[in-house]
Amino acid sequence: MSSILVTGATGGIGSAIVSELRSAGHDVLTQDVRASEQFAPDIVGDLLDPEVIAEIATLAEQHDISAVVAGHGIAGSAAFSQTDQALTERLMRINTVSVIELFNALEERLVRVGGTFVAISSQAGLVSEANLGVYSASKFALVGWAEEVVENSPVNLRLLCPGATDTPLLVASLQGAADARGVSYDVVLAERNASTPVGRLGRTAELARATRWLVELEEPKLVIAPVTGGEVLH
Amino acid sequence: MQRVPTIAGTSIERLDVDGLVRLTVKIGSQSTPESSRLLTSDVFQVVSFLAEAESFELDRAVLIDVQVPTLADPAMRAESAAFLAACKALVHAWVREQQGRTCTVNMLISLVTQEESRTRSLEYFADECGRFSHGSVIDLRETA
Repeated sequence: MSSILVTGATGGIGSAIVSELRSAGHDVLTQDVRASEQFAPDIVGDLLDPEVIAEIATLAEQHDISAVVAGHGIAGSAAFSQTDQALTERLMRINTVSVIELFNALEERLVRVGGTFVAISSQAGLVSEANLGVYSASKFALVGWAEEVVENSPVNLRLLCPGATDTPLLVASLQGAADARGVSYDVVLAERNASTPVGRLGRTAELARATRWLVELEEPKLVIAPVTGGEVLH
Repeated sequence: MQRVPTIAGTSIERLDVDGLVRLTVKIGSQSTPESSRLLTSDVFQVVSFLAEAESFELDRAVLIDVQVPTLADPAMRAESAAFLAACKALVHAWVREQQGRTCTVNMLISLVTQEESRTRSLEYFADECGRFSHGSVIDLRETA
């Protein structure tokens, strides 16, 4: 039976994707930069390290990988005037370059098996946001890259573009915003919810289900899927 | 494992001509086995330029002028496309962030060979009547 590789597998969205895929009967190979208290991935290593990418390529053959979910990524917000080179390069390397390098390392195998590559982008990859310039750039870049790759590669490409999702990362971000303004978390959360037509944050289970749908979808070659509660129309 | 080639030789130059402050990015056509500079340090140069643009006078017009070579390698074409999308995101984020408090910023994408169309477009963006364009990303390659 073929397997699915999930990177960023211990994160809020990544771990939900692993659970969803396993619940549906898929064999899943997991990677993350470190183990969490709840979960030890099969591959522990940094995707910025070419040796880790090479190890994944080897394991992909051994585990008969037929699909990849690039679920890793980091957040980062700053106004342009506050954005330094280190933040820019870190966001671009992790959110964009490592995804491209992972694809390049596994493309030959995915072509051979008629495979699928799913990258987790963001609604900020479809519509830029203030104070998220480089984060938006890192996610837009994935969309631009995929639209070009699909012209030449037979690999099925899918980009999931989630809106604000209830993860520990987002909760910390909202709490930080609340602290900065001297208001409660609930006030900031209510404002955030009000900006989304469905009136709430996305749930990790919803994104995990969307990811499984994209993994199992056999056509067309490229799917860009916003899952944003209506906040971003694409 | 051998890394897929990435783009090398990109040049980035700032020019101030006729009221138009232009960051010209000529995407390189050479390749290197190293990790992408175009998507890291070159993106930062665009970020840095836009940060500086916050202090420009309101009557200035700013243009990110990206010139794209003909690239035979599909992976390098995809890398180039990723860079263009990243620049578009930066321009849009900048416009949202400034909310009209500063000068106008637009982006022009052209093939290196589209000199005449590029010159006409630069004249438009430098023109007083070009100032209602703000946050526009114009891709001349679509009509090439």
